[in-house]
Amino acid sequence: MEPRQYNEKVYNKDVALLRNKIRALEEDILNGKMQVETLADFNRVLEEVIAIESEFSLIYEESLHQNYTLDLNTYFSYESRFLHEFVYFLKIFDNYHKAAGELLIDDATIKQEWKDIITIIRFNKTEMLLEKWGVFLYDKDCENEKEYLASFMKDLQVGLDVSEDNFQNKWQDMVLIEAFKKLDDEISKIDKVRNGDEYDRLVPLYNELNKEIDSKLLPRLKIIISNTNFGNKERYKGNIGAICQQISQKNCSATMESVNRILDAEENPAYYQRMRSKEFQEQRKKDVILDRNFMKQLTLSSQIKYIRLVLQNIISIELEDEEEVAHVFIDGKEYSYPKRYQYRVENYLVDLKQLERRQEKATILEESNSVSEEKATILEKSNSILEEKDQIIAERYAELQLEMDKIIASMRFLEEKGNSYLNKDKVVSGIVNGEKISVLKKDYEEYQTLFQKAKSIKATLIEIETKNHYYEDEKDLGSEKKQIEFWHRRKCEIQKGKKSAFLANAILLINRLNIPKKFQALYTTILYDTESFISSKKYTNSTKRKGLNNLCSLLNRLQDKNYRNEKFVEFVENSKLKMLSSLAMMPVKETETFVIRKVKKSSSKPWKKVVVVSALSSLIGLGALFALSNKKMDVKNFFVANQHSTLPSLETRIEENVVASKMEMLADKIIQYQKEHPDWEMTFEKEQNTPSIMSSVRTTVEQQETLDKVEGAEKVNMYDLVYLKPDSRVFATRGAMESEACSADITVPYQVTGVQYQNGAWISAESKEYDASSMCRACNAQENYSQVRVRLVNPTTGAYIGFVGLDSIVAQNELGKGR
Amino acid sequence: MNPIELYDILTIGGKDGDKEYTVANMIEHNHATYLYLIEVDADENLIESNQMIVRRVLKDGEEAVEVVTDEKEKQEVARLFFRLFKDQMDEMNKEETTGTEN
Repeated sequence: MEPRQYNEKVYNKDVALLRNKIRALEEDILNGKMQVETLADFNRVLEEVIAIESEFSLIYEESLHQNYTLDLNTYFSYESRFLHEFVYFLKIFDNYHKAAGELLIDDATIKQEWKDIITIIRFNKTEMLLEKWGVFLYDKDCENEKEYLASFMKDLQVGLDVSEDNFQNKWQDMVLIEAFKKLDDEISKIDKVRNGDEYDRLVPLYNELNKEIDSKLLPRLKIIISNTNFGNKERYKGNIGAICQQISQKNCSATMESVNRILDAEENPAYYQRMRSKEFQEQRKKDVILDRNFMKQLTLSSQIKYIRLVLQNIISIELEDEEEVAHVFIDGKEYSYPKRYQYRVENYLVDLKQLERRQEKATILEESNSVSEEKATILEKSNSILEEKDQIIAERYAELQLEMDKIIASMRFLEEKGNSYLNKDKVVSGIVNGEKISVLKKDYEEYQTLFQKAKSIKATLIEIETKNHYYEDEKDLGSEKKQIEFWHRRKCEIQKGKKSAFLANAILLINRLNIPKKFQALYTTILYDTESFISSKKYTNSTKRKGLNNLCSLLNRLQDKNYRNEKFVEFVENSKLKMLSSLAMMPVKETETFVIRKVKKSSSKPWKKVVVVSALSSLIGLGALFALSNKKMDVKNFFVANQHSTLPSLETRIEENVVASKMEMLADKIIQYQKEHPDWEMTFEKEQNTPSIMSSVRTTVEQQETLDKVEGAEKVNMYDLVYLKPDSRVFATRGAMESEACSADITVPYQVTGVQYQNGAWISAESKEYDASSMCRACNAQENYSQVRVRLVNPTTGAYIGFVGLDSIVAQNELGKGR
Repeated sequence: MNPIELYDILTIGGKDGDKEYTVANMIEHNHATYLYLIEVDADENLIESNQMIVRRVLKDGEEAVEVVTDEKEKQEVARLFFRLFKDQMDEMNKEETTGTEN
């Protein structure tokens, strides 16, 4: 067949057709035109979508080869994301079917799954809207963006009122907020006693604006929140919270609380005056009935004190003769008081409890956060507290699992002993869990103790599971609720999702810094999409350079402030690396020449290594960018594979060898690649069929046959069942923290479900990003086996054991393969 | 002007006033000298976000540096620097393990 004449015109037509096709697909899916009720339906849809995806890839390739000006990724940002995510979820479900076997799949399950997919897709749309909206909020000076967002929002119709008119309203809202913020600043500066006139002039205006915002903007945000219709909204709290905070401006001034109080007083000046009087204050000390209006003016701790004071007053009332008495426990002590106050006392106690709980919460937040006035930071820290709590529970869970495994192993041992004993007189038999077992009479007592122990541990495990939604295995998913939770958790694991929450936070934090507004907008743009920023024609090179430089410094500051939140730090590190790479690769059109004014020797401080590492890190970023320039691999994959986005802060952690080794690892890979492909140029030129670094490294390592060189090492693949050598050390890793956890039971076979590299990056068997088994083979080819660890899971219980060095394991067989 | 050596601090004048850079590395390539510069602050702490590859030139009889703008040239030089840094890193690691560092 003659190859058809492909030119830019045909290409553009193809793109438009495909774009329409994806839109139509989306419409069919979301409007319920595409019904999926049986496995056959499901497979049909999967085929159809995969066909569209291949078409997408073909056109994409074409654009690269032909060097067409249209950047498909930008042009297609919405459609491509929709398509890829859709395919991603379909594939997850498809794998689930394969794993479960056709017998286990009934039509009801299929229907439910389809519903879940649709929910997820809808959910993603809302998320995208929020993200875009976030940018819009901060980048409102850009007319182009405004237009783009208007069309974007018009397109999106996900139950939100995103019509053109409403968009215009939002635009007005921004003006409103600006005015409000300025006014708020002004008011906070005014000393109301000395400058009463000015104060009187501004406060009503402020009041009016505040009401406008409360009545117009906040309800709209509430609509967004209620439209985030997927069960667990936790993940979006940060995102939505960030926008809400920005809009409501509740934290735009430290004086907000006092201003509010003043405003309240403004509305009721007579009361305000009275409240300030001495008599009034004295009267409050004798209250036996809460003055709710007075209470509103108090801070949280004073409110608590006030209720306690009222309660104190009530229990101090002298009882009249024959008066009915009621009793109350306060702080563990019983008090009696006139029964006529009973209703009030009970109500006050409820109020008191609520207030104390609020205060407790606030104290925890305060303690966990050195910069307590920054609400966003508080949010971060409280998240980390929750994470710590989760971690403790998770560790306890893992411990119990281990203990359970040990007990079960001991029980099996006793059973085997009993089963193989020929003299049946010395054996006791019974049915346990539907199976006939025999144990020696002399072992019976021990067996019973073990059995009871196992029972109680199991109960605890189930309790933790139900309370914390631990479902280690998809097959354990029974109820609809559990399934939704499970898929939601899966969804949350997608790096992109996590990143957007951090992105929102970083943007929020940047907007808290005391820097000019236009720079805030610039930094937000860079953070949001570095690549687009670099290629944007809107900014000059010098602006770009300055923006990248300054943002790097800002990120350093943010990182320092949030050093306890590992994930946030990781996100910042990743962003920094992106900045550095972009900086190093920024094309400079005009020649920049600088005169050397002075050359001097550096002082004697030992920073040679810092210089080398710093420069190398930038060059590694550069190398990464070179590799990316052939567009065969996206940024996310590259960093996950090579850096795991953790280039630790050089100033603070330079002494750790891990920095050097991480960089070396990547450097080695690039150099290895160079050796394999001497013709490979570090260039942006789009070469046809240039394989990516990763695939090349993979092939190279696969070709090496170094397995036999290391004594005792066997070939290990994902899902293999392996035993541990005696004295093996098992490491439980939780993020960057690593501790030697325990010596695992060497008599129990474990299943390999992941690989951790020397550089800290780890690949899960479930990962869709890589061919997991070949990555595992790559590990086997490493010369130092102890430097590569595999993640082990007890295949019977699904419990996570930890990581062990490859040199510690003895492969048993490949039974587990192809789960 | 003193000859430039590795880790020297250069005061460089540009549009935005004087800035100090350290010479993180230098190479001779195609009859030119290239420097890998990293900005430093007054206390000689590295400002790692500002790094550049420059060529030593003479401008109006004064010694100056010129930012490498040609993409191909830059990539070629970057690759050379990359190897150099990598070697230096190896060397430092060796020094550390043998305890010969001063």
